[in-house]
Amino acid sequence: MIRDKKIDRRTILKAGVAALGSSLSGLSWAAQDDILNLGIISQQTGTFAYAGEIVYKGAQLALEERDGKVLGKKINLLARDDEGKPAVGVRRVTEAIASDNMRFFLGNFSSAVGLAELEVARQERVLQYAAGGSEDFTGARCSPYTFQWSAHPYTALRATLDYVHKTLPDKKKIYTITADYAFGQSLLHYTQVVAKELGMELAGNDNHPSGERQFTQYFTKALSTRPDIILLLTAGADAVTAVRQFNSFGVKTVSLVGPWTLEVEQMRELSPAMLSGMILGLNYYQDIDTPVNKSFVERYLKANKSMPSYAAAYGYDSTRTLLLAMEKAKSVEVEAVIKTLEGMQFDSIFGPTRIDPRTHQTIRPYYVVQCKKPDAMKNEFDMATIVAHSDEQQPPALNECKRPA
Amino acid sequence: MQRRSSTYLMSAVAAAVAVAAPFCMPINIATEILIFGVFALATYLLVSVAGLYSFGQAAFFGVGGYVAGYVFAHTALPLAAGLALAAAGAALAALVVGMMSIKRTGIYFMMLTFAFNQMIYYLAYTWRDVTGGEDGLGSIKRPDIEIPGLGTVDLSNHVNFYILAAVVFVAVFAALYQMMHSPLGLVLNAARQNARRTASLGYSVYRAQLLAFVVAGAASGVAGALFAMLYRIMPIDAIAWTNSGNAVFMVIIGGMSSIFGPVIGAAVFIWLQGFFSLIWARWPLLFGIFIILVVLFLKGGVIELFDRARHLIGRRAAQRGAP
Amino acid sequence: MTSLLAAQLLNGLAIGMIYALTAFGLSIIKGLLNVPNFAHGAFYALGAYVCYGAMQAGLSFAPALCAAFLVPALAGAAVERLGVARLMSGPYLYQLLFLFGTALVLEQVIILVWGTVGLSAAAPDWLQGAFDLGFTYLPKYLVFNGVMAALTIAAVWLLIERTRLGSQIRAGIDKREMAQCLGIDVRRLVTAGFALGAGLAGLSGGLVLPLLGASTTMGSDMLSIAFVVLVIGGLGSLYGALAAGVLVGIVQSVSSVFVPSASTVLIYVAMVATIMIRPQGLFGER
Repeated sequence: MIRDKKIDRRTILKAGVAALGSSLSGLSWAAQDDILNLGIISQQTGTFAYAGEIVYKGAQLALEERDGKVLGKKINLLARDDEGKPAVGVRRVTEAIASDNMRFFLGNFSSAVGLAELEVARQERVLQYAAGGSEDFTGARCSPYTFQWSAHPYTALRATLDYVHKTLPDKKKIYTITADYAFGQSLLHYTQVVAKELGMELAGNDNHPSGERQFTQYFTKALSTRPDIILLLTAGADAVTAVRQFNSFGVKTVSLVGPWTLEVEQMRELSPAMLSGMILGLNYYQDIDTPVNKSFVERYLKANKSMPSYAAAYGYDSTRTLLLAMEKAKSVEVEAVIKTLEGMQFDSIFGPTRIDPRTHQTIRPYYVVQCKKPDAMKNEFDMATIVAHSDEQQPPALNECKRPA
Repeated sequence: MQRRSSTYLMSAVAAAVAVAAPFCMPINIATEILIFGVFALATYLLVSVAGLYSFGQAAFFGVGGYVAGYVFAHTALPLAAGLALAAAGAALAALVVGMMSIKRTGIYFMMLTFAFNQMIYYLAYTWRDVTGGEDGLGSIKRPDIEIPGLGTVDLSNHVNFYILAAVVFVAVFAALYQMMHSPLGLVLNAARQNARRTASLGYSVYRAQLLAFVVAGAASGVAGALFAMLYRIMPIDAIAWTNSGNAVFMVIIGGMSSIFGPVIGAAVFIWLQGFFSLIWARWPLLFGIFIILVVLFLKGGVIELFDRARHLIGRRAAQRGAP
Repeated sequence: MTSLLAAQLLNGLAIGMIYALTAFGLSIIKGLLNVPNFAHGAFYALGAYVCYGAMQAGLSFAPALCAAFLVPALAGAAVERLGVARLMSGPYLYQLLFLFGTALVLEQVIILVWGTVGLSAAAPDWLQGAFDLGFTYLPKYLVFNGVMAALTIAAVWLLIERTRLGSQIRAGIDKREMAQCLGIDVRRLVTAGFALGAGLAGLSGGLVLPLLGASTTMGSDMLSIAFVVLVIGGLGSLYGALAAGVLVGIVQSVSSVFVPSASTVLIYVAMVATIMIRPQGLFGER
């Protein structure tokens, strides 16, 4: 009868489900005592798609320095793609914690992803060493389990606008074009704060959605206010598009400044002619003159035939710092490592560095570079000169972190 | 005409599968399969039974997810209230979209559902204050369930949450099966084969289809609500048209000839996605090839595969034909 | 304010021409197959990437644009022959899904070949810079874009309306079986038509390359807009897409002056409004 036919099918179905399922469970890494799993959860697709591989490479260099071991345990890097999407990042972190016993992770490029992962880290009590330009990491959403490697947007804007103010004293009118997500809005907030401190005028602002392809409309609007400076408060592929399209206007009287906009990878996407003269703020540049950085750059160049950038430096430095903390704490337990990191003084690629015990902000400088003219470049990597740096920290009055001191 | 099995029997099978699943795979994956199983079942009702090729179901999944997400992130309303609001919100959206789309036929209907999906997507994208825009709606809590007499069930526990998903899954499964074999279901079936004829026989095709659309919308909304609670974040992609396409794939991949089809399809899809996305960033390529192969060579989906396998192995099929 | 509006109008016109060209290709395919081409965005993206690749290989802009047309056209012909034609006899759902799967595959292949990072190529020197119109700047490339799109559309129009092949295509669109009875090889025609549509999408992609660059999401972005343009223009009308494309471009650009974040939603609102007021689209017939 038909009923039996359905039962037959059902048996097959159940068997099918079981077969599918058992092959899945065989995939999980067995959690072993002498292995430490470090998650590199970064972007392989999307706006910052180049980043994932490079962060991984940076982390690998940190591992090589110590033969891939810490406290006698072998370190295993878990590479996962967060696709630049908060929900995917959350999912990857959750999966890795569940199947691979991951207790430490880093690698987010997008602030939104990092902030979503922050909640998971807090919920599951694992340590996150995040990056990204949103102030919420060390502000309103600060968490005992999350640390921030990138500079605070206040520091970034201060360093950049200080330089502009000093070297181009006549240029006071600023128009901002801002990325319409966490990171961009933080930059805008601190642009307003710093501009006020320096007496510069903000002529107007436009928010653009992520993945925006048509910046010509924003530039047209901006140029109609006759500004001295257009401040690009955006990053990644969006920033590249913006610079490219700005160039098509051929307007020489307006300076294009990007306080947190183009890292070296993106600079390479644009022709030197398009970049010439641009003032950029950077979290990292290869010419930073410290022994740790020099050694890092040399090894990275040798291993990858290319200069390291923000992504690589983040992967390297944050991993290195984590491992240093584990050694100092003589433990790989999350709580112990957190305690050690708070207030730890150490040498990083920035020189002497420490971490704020309350907000978990890594206290380090921010750099300003000026892009070189094409004929001034010594080689394909020599795109800019470091002209200034500053480590002015966010005024405590503006900080919204509610953790007790 | 096939005599159908009783709803209780079918539901028992669904329950059995739901019980077996977590023993065969990580519980997160199993939960996700059940959630998308509900979503696929709703799509199945429209695509397979009613013949309404809706490429916009993600809109209702998303509305349900955002409503529940908002309720659980910002208010202290209990679980049942959140789920009910999600279903109601999604049903309302489905009613509005349905009223404007169902009068058109075939391709037009499909393009309209697609376009409405896009519109709702962009609304969610722009209404940042409520939906979180591109970053999604985070900080969603899983409220405890108070069962009078039994105490509190903590849904943070993965197993408990799975049980909730399983209960919802079996309930939706039973309801849809019942519906498909009710007079409404028969009208939908008939209308799929020949709408004009059915109408001329006196049945209101429009009303039947609209009702199915709203029911499917509500079910999709409930699936969305559970999804929001699964990872405690409601992402913007869940409401994008690619998710609608995924729902239709699940139905096709599983097989359109049986109500188990969408469930199998959901399992295959989630499994493929979960497995492949870990080993190769370009896994959508495999998925695309998979779809092409299914569409060209295995139109009946996995169920057809099972059928063929069975005949190959030579198992004696149960007696065919209806009494 | 008027100067800003004027600037945005010009911007919208140029972008609208791209939308029109792409949607025109989609319209031709829709007319012949009666199935919306879910892989249309992927062909558009393919065109942009091929144009980039051609320029990297040393070709100048003009031959690169030809490649941007030809490669997607060939790909379209292959896709049609290998898949769509086979699924002609069944319910159109399978054709839809086949095209959807093709889009996925194409987009991933693009990433495999060219990577995930967005790519840019500069327009030739004589097209760089802008006209200073006094009240606004008008980038030269935008003008070129619009003119090229218009010329292409005119050429295709000539093909369809004034040549024998064109009349066969029109016959195939209007009355397929009748055309077959008359001895026209409709199957070949459909393949040719599909190739033409895909090629137009690819050419749009190539034209847009110096303006917006090539990115991995450009296909999906364009697909949804093209669908909207098609619906607004009218599904049954071959040329409705042209006016609708320009209209959509203008609506998007102008509205970004007043409500920048909602300019894309407005496109869909416009679509809904069109459906409610005039369900057959601006130029469609019932």
